[in-house]
Amino acid sequence: MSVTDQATARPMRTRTLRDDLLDDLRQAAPMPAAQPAREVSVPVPVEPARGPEAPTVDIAVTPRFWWGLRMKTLSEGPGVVIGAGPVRISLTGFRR
Amino acid sequence: MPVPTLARMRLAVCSSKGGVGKTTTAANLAAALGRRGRVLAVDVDPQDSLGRAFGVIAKSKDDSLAALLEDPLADPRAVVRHDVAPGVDLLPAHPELETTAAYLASTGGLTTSVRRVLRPLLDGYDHVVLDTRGDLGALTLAAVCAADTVLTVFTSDPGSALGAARVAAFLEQHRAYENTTAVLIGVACASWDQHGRAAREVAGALAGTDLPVLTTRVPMSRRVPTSTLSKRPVVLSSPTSPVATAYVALADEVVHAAERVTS
Repeated sequence: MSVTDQATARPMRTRTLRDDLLDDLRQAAPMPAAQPAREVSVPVPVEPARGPEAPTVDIAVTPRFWWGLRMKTLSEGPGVVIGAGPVRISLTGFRR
Repeated sequence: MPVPTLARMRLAVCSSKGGVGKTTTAANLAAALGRRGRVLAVDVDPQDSLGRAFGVIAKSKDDSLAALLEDPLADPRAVVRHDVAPGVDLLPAHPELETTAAYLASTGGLTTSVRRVLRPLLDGYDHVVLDTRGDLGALTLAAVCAADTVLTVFTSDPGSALGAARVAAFLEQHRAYENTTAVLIGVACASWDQHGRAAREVAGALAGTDLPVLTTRVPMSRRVPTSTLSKRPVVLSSPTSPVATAYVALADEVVHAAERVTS
């Protein structure tokens, strides 16, 4: 780098230092103050009226857990699970 | 010479950074304002440096602000040291203030404690100057809560400018929380290195913000540490020196800024 280059580079470096600090100051200086949390009334989602429960079929693939061919009923409600190898199929929501 | 009528001002000198000249500024402002009215200087820093700047050392917690904060029934007049400088009384701190503040913080009484202690004293003074510790913690908030105006200071150190910006943010936040109504009236250079590049850069960057940078710059001076050794603010120990003249000018500028925001 020549002497002339250094002379021209210096003011740019000076400006950059000041700009960096100015950015820091603007970041630290007052921004819109964090307001104390106000209670906002959040609309409570209204659950749609439920008719008779529709039957649901869930299919899960469990590559790390292989099932032997089997079928079992669910204890928490009407439903049945059928497992075979990495596939598990559950049928719920139907009336017995 | 007629004594100008001054608006009552409760000024807290704050920074989020230590070693930027808060105590020296607080002591010299108190001394400068004491020439024109009655001033109460309040040391809200457990390092008790403001008292030491005037040669006052509380021998025990009981002789200090700490005792007043702890006991709401204590009489603050009994602890105030009178005429530590012309026109200046002083409420000293003691290192035990640290423990007292921690206890009050745990019981929820710290934020308003300094304001409560000062309330019965205010009628006797034209100005109150509060020195704070070099952080924006709960004790500093208690001082700001007792103030109506805040001054922050910077040096050639970019960190001190950041400290000033953080004071502004701190005040905004606590005004929003309604912990205080204090307003930042000035950002003052407490150690102006007129030939230093860092000083120019820092001052230039601050000028580019919306912060209320004051025009008075207190020049860097060896007289300042010497005055600390002699336990007399430089305004009193070397009243004709450029640094003392600058502090007197700064006091004027601060009073005018306070009048603008509090009237």
